This record gives sequence, structure tokens and C-alpha cells, in this order.
Amino acid sequence: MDRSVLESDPQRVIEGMAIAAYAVGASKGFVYVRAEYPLAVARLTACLRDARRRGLLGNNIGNTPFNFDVEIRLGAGAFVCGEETALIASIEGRRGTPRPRPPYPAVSGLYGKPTLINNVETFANIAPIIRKGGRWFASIGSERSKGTKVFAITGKITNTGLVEVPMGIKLREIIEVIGGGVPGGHKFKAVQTGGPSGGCLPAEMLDIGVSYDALVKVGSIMGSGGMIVMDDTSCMVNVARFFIEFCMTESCGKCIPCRAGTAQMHTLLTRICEGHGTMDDLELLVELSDTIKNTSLCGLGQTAPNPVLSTLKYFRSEYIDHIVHKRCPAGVCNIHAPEPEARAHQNAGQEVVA
Amino acid sequence: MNDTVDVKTLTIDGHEVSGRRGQTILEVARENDIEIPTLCHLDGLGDVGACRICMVEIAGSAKLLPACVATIFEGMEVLTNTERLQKYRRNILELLFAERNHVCSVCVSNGHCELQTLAQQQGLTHVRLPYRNPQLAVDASHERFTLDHNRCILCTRCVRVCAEIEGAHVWDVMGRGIDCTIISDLHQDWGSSSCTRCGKCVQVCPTGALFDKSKIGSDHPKYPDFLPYLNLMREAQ
Amino acid sequence: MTQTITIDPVTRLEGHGKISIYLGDNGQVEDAHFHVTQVRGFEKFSEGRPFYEMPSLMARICGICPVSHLIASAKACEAIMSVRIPHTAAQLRRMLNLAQMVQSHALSFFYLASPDLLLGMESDPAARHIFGVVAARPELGRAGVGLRRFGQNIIELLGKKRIHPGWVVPGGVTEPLEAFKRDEILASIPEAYKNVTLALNAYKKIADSFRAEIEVFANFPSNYLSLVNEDDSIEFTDGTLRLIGSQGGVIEDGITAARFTEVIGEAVEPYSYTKFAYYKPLGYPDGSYRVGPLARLNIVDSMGTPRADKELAEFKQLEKGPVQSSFHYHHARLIEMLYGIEKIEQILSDPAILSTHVRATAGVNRNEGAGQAEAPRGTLVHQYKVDDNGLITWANLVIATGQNNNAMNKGILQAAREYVDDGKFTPGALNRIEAVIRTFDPCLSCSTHAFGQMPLALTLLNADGETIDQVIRS
Repeated sequence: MDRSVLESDPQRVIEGMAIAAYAVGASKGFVYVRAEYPLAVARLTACLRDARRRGLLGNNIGNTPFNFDVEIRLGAGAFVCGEETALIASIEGRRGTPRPRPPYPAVSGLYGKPTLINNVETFANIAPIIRKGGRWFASIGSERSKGTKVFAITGKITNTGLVEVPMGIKLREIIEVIGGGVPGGHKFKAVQTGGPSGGCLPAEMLDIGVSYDALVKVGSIMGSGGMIVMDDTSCMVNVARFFIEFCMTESCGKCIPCRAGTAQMHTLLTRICEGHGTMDDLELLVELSDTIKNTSLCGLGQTAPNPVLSTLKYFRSEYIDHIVHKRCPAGVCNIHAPEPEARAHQNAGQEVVA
Repeated sequence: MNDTVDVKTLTIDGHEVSGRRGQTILEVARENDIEIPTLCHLDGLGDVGACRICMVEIAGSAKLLPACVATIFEGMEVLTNTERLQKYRRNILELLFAERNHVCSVCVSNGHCELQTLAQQQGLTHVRLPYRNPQLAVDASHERFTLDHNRCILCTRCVRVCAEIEGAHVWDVMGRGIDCTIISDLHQDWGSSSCTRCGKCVQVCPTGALFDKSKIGSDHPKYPDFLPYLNLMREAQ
Repeated sequence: MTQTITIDPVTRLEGHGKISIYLGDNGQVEDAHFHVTQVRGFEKFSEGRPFYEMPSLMARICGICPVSHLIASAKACEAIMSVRIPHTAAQLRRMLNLAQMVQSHALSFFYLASPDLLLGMESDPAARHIFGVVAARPELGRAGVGLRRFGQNIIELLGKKRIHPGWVVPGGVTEPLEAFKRDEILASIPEAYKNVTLALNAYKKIADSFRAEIEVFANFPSNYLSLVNEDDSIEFTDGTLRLIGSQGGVIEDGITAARFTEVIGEAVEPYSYTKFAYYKPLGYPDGSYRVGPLARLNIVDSMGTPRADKELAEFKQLEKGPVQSSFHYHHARLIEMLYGIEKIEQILSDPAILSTHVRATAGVNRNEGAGQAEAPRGTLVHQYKVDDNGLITWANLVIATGQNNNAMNKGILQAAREYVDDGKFTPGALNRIEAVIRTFDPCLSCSTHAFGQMPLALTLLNADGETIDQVIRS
């Protein structure tokens, strides 16, 4: 979403940033782009050069005393640097780890100065709003989530790609109408929204209108706008394990609940997928999820348990199948691996092994 | 909210207390003899709010706050020791004990370890999580001290004291997530690094990860109390 | 057709012994093997640890004799450091070692062996244990507990804990002895004398009724190895090793820890995880030897303390030349206990024992070191190699019980010949064979089985591996 805006319409982003800078009295702006998006970097670079030549960036913009220029900063492959304080740290040349807030960046941000930090998508919306007015923007979308949202639909769906839809649109309409439904004669099972820290929603939830609040209420998030559709060939336990693995490898490591907690959750989920899980493991998963969610330092940790919690909420039977009946309903998990040594040892400590 | 008033009144665990604008919840609590457990915090070092042990509940908010960095506001109602917080603290400790190889019985800091003491205080009786048993090395290349990664909890006190107080910035963190590891200089042997041999990192380390080679009879209490004085002297200059 | 009798333990994961007895074509016992079926891995997981951690790591090998490991390990570390520890530290360690020896022998004699010896090997199994002894001969039961308490108390006073104490470190000990502790120990000595004398007298009275057992309990000529002082008196903590032959002549003398592996080799048998030590010039298995109380008393000329010296003289009358029957291990243990108490008293009478110079400090000055000590069960050797930073790169332990392996096998073979008849076990076979093992006081039989009996199963197998008779005790 943000990437496609930078690639196809970087001018809108720069314009939005300039307007925002004018509003708060800033003279310096940064765009932090993933190094894995070379086209976005190239197009943005060209756009900035162009803007400076035309006097739209730099000193005395439009012959006014307003100065504003923008620099590009490249990421180095860390998902956590999408978190605002980690992003700021990265720009400052420090390790990209978040810090506790308050103080919020608006009070003390980049180099300790008050900083306005927003998504590319947000800045891209500013120019049209200024031009067409706030009421126009408010007329699109739902009561508390205004305007449009870009989603990236992928997975077991006929039409994959980016779509921009008004907030409040039903999930069903996005998936069945715009997306063209699940192909190959398979049945829809779940849609995961919000990226790796989002939740998985079952068919019963397809009639909710998409908005920040509505998604949070049912255990997911808007997040980056990702939307992954899954069918009956997807194992929800494995899906949870997959996303926890992502959070585990992307965790910055600063705070204990996220660093060690996601690793432990991954171990427990792997056990369950391989057929060695117990109901105690399930209990531990839930307790860990609660701790990680409520004590992690930043959004990565706070939302990492979401896939686990939402699949436990809506697809608990699949967990029971793996644990009690030692079978994977979707036929995905290799559930016949031999018992690992360490497990037998820990059990031996708890009871007399015959 | 008018934030120009210097003195704030708030309640902590039902006790009415007061503090100055800009003070943290932890500072005010300690001034009033209210104990909030901590691990990565150390008087004299900058706070990072990383261990999440000092999280407290604030009335009217679903979000927990780390007491070591959160500043007080007027009318704040803080709860420091609810059942929920106790459970979170024990979970965090379980995560720590299972993360690396903490074998108290043969450790030089047995009986003088902040992690051990905290676990006892919080009533941790057993660890339900699978032990990860990572293979971690010992850096014994320094002539006076040793670093045992098996006992490190990544509190970063060593990083902070070397950077903020000694100024040598020998220690830092390498890697990400569960693979984070403390390194000296650019991942060189401690013995051949730019270390000034001052020993501050050994004194601030809460566990037996950093220790003095001459103290291996479980007779290694640590004395980090000099830090606030050092800060004072530097500020005076 | 050869048959195999296997004594197999039932379940449980620690302290396990398994015995296989092989019958020949004529149904007579041909061979017997004592298997040790677990690997502990101490030599492996020490790799990468700083060498000065080794004493406290190695102490964890055993709950009865951790002090032996502390001392042998510390001595190996001191070889690496190239230091000689202060005299007071050596004396303090000597006292700790003797205290351990007293409590360990007390455990072996009173808790493990005395039920058989004092109540009789045919007595009711339901009462043939320490509590049965306490019930039948209360004053002896109390003596046993008292002697154990005597030793454990000293260990706790000096090392702060009874099991896996600290205090012993490379370079010496961490704290000097305080006067009040010395006085407390001295005050406990009279009772200790009383208890061990009671035990000695009781044992001598009943020893006659065990003539048959004395004849067949691992009673064969063998070589003997132990530490000894230059003046041929007994030594547990310092000294050098001496190997004597079955006639009593010295085969080799003055073996230091550094030379141990030059002189002693370790063979591996496929049926056991312990190694089989042997004297290299004589080869394997001819170079096998026995260690422990019997070996020590056979090698030394004196104990160095008056009462124990008297007992030693009496002991040496039991046989012409070295005492060969393993049954006499029990007697030897009692004499060593008496010596231990006397020697502790002697050590404490020196005012220098309160000196505060108890620790030498040094870094890595050699890349390898070895240390040896006499554990209650026999000679113990620790060998380490380190890198220049002091991290262990290799560790080798030669344990006392391992050096008695061949002797135990021989003993079981002897007992099996007595107690297996016509391809079947005679009644009481299980107890007798187990009693043979107990004379050696191997570290397996004590850890979990102080109360009750060793879990054993005797299985009679033919050459095809089919079970033809079985006796199980769980």
C-alpha cells in the first residue's frame, strides 16, 4: 500500500509532508523506505530532485519564508523499524529498537526534537483533503474510520492485488465480489487481516464493516492493510505458528516478553503441529499470550499473540485435533515426528518414569 | 492539562503521595518506601524500560506503564502489586530462566544474584516453559574478568554504564530478538578490546554473567552504589 | 549351548547395576559381567567452562563423596595454576576429606552392609535394613547415625553445606577456620570414638559367623593401588600412588598425578559405560588391581595414629601377606573410620590450623593439570586440559569404582559359581551376589537405596537369548 503510493504517486506524499511541515513549523522531513523497494527509492529520488528544481522544496518555497526539504533514509531489513521510535532510532544511526512512550515523538522525537511521524498513506491523503475539504473526506467511510483504505489481497483468492475501498465496506464484498472468491472449488476458511500481527477471522465474521474499531473488536487489527485469504487446505495452527515465527525473527530483542516469549510460543506451537502438544501447552500458550500482549514494549510484541489468540478463539477445534487426536484436519502438519529427547527428560522430572 | 505546576499529588496503592513534575513513578514510590520490583533499572544509569518487571496499573487506563520511565501526572492512581501484575512478573521470570542456562548451584553469583533474589521475592517456584538450552560461550580472554553469556539476561546495564559513565562504550548488543548477544567493540575478544579495565560493568551486572576472576568461591557480592556519586561528580564539572 | 543369566534392574534411572551371568555348555558358570548402564557426561559438558569452576561442577557427581571430587579437582586446577597451596589450607582440606571418609564409611557399613552382617543374610527381608538394625540393635543403630552426623557436621561447619559444600577452591580454601568451630569439632570427638569402638567390637564378634562368605566373596589374589606417604603411613589427600602385587611386593612407587596416565591405562568393554583401569606394563586384564579400604590397609605399614595402628596390626593378621578376601573391606572401613577421627583430633591440636593464610591465587600457567586423592572407595584422579584463557578443552576422570570393575566381575563370578546350580538360582542367590557388590561399596548401590534394597533382576538366558529363569526385586 505505502509502497505502491511511493512508486506510483510520490508527489502526493511529498506534498502532504510539505503541508504538514508548514502546519507544525518543521523545516526537515525524512522518508524511511525499505531498501527492498528500489523502484520506490528511485522514483522518490527523482520526484524530490524535480520538486527542488521547481522550487517546491528547499528554501523559500513559493517565495515565502517557509523552508522545507526531505531526505530519504533506507532501512536495513528490520520489520521492527516500522515502529515509530525504532524508526527514529534507525535514522539517528542507532540500533533500531523502540523506546518506551511517553514521551511521544510529538514532544521528543528525532534528535530529541518534536517530530510528526506518520504513515506514507496518511500523508498521501492530506492534499486531496485540503483541496476538497474535510466534509468530503468525512462523507466516505464509517462513523469513526473516515475515508478510504488500501488493502493488499492475497492468498487463496481469484483476484490478488491492491484495492482502495471506502472504510466500512463489508469484508464479504472485498473477498467475494472484488476478490472473486476462493478458486478451485475450495471452501473459504479464514481471512487474516493486518499483516503478521493481525488476527484470523472465520466465515461468520465476513459481514462486519471494515474499520479500525470493528476489526479490533473481533480480535484482529487494520495494521498494514494486508488481507490473506485461506481455504480448507490451510491449517490454522500452522498459520499461527508461521506468524509467530515471523514475529520471533523480527523481534528487536530489547524487552523480555517479546524476545523470549515469541520464541517460547513458537516452540509450543511447533510441538502442537508435530503432534507432541498437550492441553497444558495450550494453557501456557494462552497465559503467555496475555503476558506478551500486555507487557511488551512496542506494537510488535503487543500484537504478536493476535494470530494465536484469534485462531484459538475461532478455530479451537483444530488445536484439539492436533493435541488430542494427533491429526491435522487440513493435512498440512507432519504429525508423525518422533518424540524429542528433551521433552521426555522434562516429563521424567515430574513423575516417576517406568 | 495544566503542566506548569511543579508539585503533583497522586496515589500509589491507596497511599496519597506527592512528587515533582518530571519524576518517574518509581522515584516517587521509592521516596515513599513503596517497593516496586525492577531488574534493568539501576540508580545512576539511564532507564530503558526493557525488562517489563516494573509495570504498574493505572486507574482509568487499560495500558500498563513501566514505572521506571513513566512520569507522574496529577491525580494519577497507581497500583503496583495486583494479582495480575504478580502473574506477569512471574511469567517474565519464567521466560528468563528458560531462555538461557541459569545454573545457580555452580554459579559464582549464587546467593548474590538479583535475578535469583527477584524470583524468590516473587514466589517463583518452578518453570513451566521448555528450557531452550542454547549453546553459549564464555569469554575468558580478559586478564581480570570473565563474561559468561549463559547467565546474561540482556538487561544492558553493562552497555549503559560503559557508555554513559566510563565513556568507553566497549559493550553493545549484536543481533536481533532471541539471537541478541552482548559483544565487546566490534565482536572482538574482551581481552583485546578498548576496555579500560575499570570493572564497572562487573559491578552493575545483576547476575553472574560478568564476574571477577579472583572471586570464584561464591563470594562475589556486587556493589554498584557508587554510580549516583559518579554522576554527581561529573555534573559538578 | 551357552546360557546367559542377566540380573537386570527394573526401571528407575539412577544408581543402576545390571549383572549378566553366562553359563557354559555344561551348565556351569563361565563368566559374569557387571554393567553400568548410564552415561553422566561430566567430562563432556565441562568443556568450555572456566577451569576454576571445575571443583564445584565436579562435586555434583556424587552426593556422598563430593569432597573427594572437590579436592581432586582443586588439585588439578592448582597444577594448571602452578601453585603450592598454604600448609594450613592443605591441613584444612585433609580434615574435610577425613570427615567425609568417616561419614561415607559409616553409611556403607551401617546403612548398607550391617543389615546383612548384624541381622544375618537369611533374615527376614522385610526387616533387613537400617531400621531393622535400629530395632534389633539400637545402640549400633545410634552409633551409625552418630558417626554419620559427626562427619556431616564437620563438612557443614567448614563448607556451609553437607551435600556439595563449597569452600574448597583452586588455590586453597575460601575462609580460614574459626576458633569456635575448632572447639565444636573437638567436642564431638569423644562420642565419635565411642561409636566406632562399639561398631568395631560388634563386627569382630560376628565376623566368625561369616566364614563361608569370607571364603567366596571376591576372594582372589590381586594387585593393590593407593596413595601413601613417604614414611609408608596412610594418606588420603596428598602423597603419591603405590602399586603392590598379590604377594605384597612393590611393583611401582611414587606415581604422581601428572604421571598417572603414563602408568595406568583405561580399557573399554562393550558391556559397560565405566572404563576398566589397568597397570600398563602388565597389560589388560593382568594389570587389573583393587582400590579402596582393603587396598590402602594392604599397602601401608602404619596409620600414624595410636588406636588405628593397633587395629591395623590386628587386621594384618587376618591373612598371610596382603588380605585378599573382599569381605574384609568391611573391617578395613571401620579401621579407617577410627583413623579419621584420630587424625582430625591431631590436626586440630596444631594452633597453626587457625592461620588466615589459606588461599594462593594465580592464573593459567600450564595448559594441563592432574590431581589425585583417596576417596572413601579408592583412588580418584581428575585430569584437565585448558586453553590460554583457562577454558576447559578436555577433561578425564578416573573414578575409584571404575578401578574395581574387574575385581567386582571376578567377585560376582565367584559368587555365581557358589549360588547358581544346574542352570537355576539357589535361594538366597540374589542377596549373596548383591552382598558381594556391597563389599566394594560401589557408588551405584548407595545413592538411592540406603533404605530397602538395590533394584535388581537376575535373568537366566541361554545362548539364544531366551530367558530360562528369573529373580526380580523391584
